[in-house]
Amino acid sequence: MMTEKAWQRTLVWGTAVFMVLLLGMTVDSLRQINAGRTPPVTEQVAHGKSVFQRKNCNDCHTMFGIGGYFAPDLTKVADSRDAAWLKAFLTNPAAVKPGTTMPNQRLVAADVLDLVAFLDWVRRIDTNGWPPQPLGSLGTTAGRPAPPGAFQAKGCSGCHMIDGRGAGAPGPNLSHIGSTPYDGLANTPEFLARWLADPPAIKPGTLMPKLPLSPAELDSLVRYLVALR
Amino acid sequence: MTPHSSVTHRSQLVAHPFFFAAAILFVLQVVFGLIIAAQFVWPTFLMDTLPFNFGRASHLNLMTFWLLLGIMGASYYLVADETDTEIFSVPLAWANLVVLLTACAGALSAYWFGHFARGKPFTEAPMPWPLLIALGVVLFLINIFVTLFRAKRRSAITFTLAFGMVGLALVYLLSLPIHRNLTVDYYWWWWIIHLWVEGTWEIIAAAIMAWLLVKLADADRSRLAKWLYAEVALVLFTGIIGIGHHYYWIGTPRYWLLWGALFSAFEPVPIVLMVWDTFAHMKRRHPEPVNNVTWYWLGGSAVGHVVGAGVWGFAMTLPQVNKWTHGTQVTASHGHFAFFGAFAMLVIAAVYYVVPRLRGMERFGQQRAMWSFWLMCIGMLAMVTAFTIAGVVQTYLVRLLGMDFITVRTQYVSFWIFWVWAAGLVVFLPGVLLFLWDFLAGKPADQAPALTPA
Ligand code: HEC
Ligand code: HEC
Ligand code: HEM
Ligand code: HEM
Ligand SMILES: [Fe+2]
Repeated sequence: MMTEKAWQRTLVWGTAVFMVLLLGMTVDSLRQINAGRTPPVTEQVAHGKSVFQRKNCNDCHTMFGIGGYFAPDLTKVADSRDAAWLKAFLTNPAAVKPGTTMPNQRLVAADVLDLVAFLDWVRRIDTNGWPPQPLGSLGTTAGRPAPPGAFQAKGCSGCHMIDGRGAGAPGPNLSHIGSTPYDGLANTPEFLARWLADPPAIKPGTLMPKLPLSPAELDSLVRYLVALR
Repeated sequence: MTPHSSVTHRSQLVAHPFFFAAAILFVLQVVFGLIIAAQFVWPTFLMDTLPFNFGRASHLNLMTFWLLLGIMGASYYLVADETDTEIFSVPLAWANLVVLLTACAGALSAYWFGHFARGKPFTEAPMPWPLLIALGVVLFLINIFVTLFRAKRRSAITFTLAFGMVGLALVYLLSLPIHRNLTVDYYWWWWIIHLWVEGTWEIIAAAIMAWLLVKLADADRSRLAKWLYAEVALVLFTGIIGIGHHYYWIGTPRYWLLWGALFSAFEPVPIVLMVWDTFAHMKRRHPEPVNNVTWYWLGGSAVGHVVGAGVWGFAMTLPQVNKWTHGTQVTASHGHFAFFGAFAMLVIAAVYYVVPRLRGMERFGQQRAMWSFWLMCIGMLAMVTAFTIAGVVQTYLVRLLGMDFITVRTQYVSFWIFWVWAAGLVVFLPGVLLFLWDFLAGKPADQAPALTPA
């Protein structure tokens, strides 16, 4: 049997061994981080980062998946939003997205530009593939209309199937909704627009929920649906 | 404090203001939790005066401060008891407390009135407050170490406690510099977050738990000492490299996916051992009337620790799972369960053992305290359940289906956070308020209706 002293020594020396291992891995990790896993940090990026931290954006938003779960992850936001959009949005969120729940951060123009540079820097970090591509990614099928972004972003593909992609239930297969009406409901653009805006108002008790769609999203969805022949 | 306290060393009385401050900050922490949960449901609520990010920073910082102060209060009492000496300096202990409370007030004012911070969750306090926090911790360390060195009696419990405290301070100091590269910044940030909760705090908690078991169950010291060292060693041998479960996606090399998964997968093992050990000791408790409330909090903490940290943590520690759940309310469910189970419940157990003694009683009347215990436990279970459902729904809709984050938040997640808020307001908060009341007005057990012996 080990004595109390022997156990104590095991604790102290074992801890030292694992700390040395961690320090070694840290040295290597920092080397790799600075040698290309992250792009070089310019003055502007460094300043954008300090604005990001001073404003505490990270307690609403996640970054690398770390932070508050109140607002979208910003790791790859500059992949889908261009610099002009980001600049306008950060200057005055409500002007770009009426009704948005991101408060105006009251940023001076220079800070906005630095933040945009910072977000573009973050976008280019090698995050081992995170965030992952959703499993339900629709992609496009040759010769068929391409689904608008809203079809996935608003969850349509979580209930409907088109050309073998998406979910088979509970919504009907919409592969030919433009030519074959569903269940006696009209498939005219006017009707579809009314339907998408508020399904339960047309068919009380339906499983299809009323989803928040901007006029532009509604329009792109209707044009897509009528083209599905 | 009454002059009739039944402490063996007068300096132990200094634990009282630490616990009192902890109790007040605990109530405040919960109030901020309720505010930010409400903002999920009613997003324009306080949107300009106290936006979500600063409410969240307040919630997290208050939690860290009250748990630290509770641990420090328990440590002052424990170290005097274990070494059978007075604490080196009572004024130094007061300075330690005042410095930390000033740092806490300073950081909160920066969030509420200045709307500025230092930017990384849990460590948002802007300069100079982190320096004051470091100073407070150093004053505490000096006080404890001088006491230990002057004392004749050393024990495995005080050794483990001191070992954890040094680690806690070193890791905090490492987090002070800010790095220009965000990935490097977060690399070191995890040293404080992970190496605190899954390393140094875990060690300190094990020491406090062992001490309570000695006090309440007459645990056999030499057997307990070996267990304590073995458990703590396993915590560190799995947890130190286990930090890799936070280095999957932040720009760090790919090998962390393997190392982090491999080591962190074994982190629940010492936690399970600890619980097994605790219950083995608890079975041998004194036959005479005991402090039931302390027992409940202690046993509850063992269970909460193993389920909240061990099971909930393990569930998302493998990269194959973490890839999907990372950055969702699933993490929040684990954060609440683990912090409450492993640390909050243990601090409350220490309060119920120590505070009555500081006021010259064996224990408080049990009835109000039992209500507080059950309200907090049931409230937290309900909240964790709602957070978990919110997280699973969010993972499915956002990550797997690719739905838009804000659509999912407003249409689905907020519904479940509403239940977090409701359970927090109607069940958990009353439990916390009862705890504060008990703290302020606890009466000796014989003046309150006796509880049927359990
Ligand atoms: C009080 C919480 C809060 C704070 C603080 C906050 N944001 Fe936001 N942000 C949001 C919310 C909510 C959205 C989603 C807006 C929407 O879609 O209506 C958002 C959206 C965004 C977007 C657009 C994402 C997209 O693709 O639609 C960017 C970029 C952004 N925020 C950057 C920032 C930066 C940079 C800061 C700090 C200067 C910041 N945010 C501070 C809540 C916040
Ligand atoms: C929660 C599941 C669900 C979601 C999400 C959903 N639907 Fe539906 N959808 C249904 C169901 C169920 C029906 C069948 C209606 C009925 O008979 O009650 C339906 C019917 C339809 C129809 C046929 C109605 C007609 O007039 O021809 C269309 C078109 C449609 N959905 C499009 C969409 C689009 C576009 C979206 C995304 C904005 C969407 N759905 C989102 C479940 C869903
Ligand atoms: C006492 C113990 C513990 C406490 C208090 C605790 C607390 C927390 C907190 C607060 C976070 C969120 C950090 C953030 O803001 O991003 C977190 C994350 C995490 N914890 Fe724990 N934890 C404990 C133990 C464990 C254990 C034993 C495991 C697993 C074996 C574990 C696995 C994880 C993982 C994988 C994450 C990352 C979640 C994500 O992807 O965002 N934890 N923990
Ligand atoms: C009424 C009680 C409470 C309510 C309503 C509440 C609510 C919340 C909310 C809404 C968040 C933010 C989640 C997000 O970013 O989206 C949060 C975060 C957090 N809370 Fe609470 N909370 C309460 C009590 C507690 C208690 C008692 C503890 C610990 C002892 C705690 C620890 C935490 C932690 C660690 C986080 C960060 C989680 C993470 O980073 O994943 N909370 N809380
Ligand atoms: Fe961890």
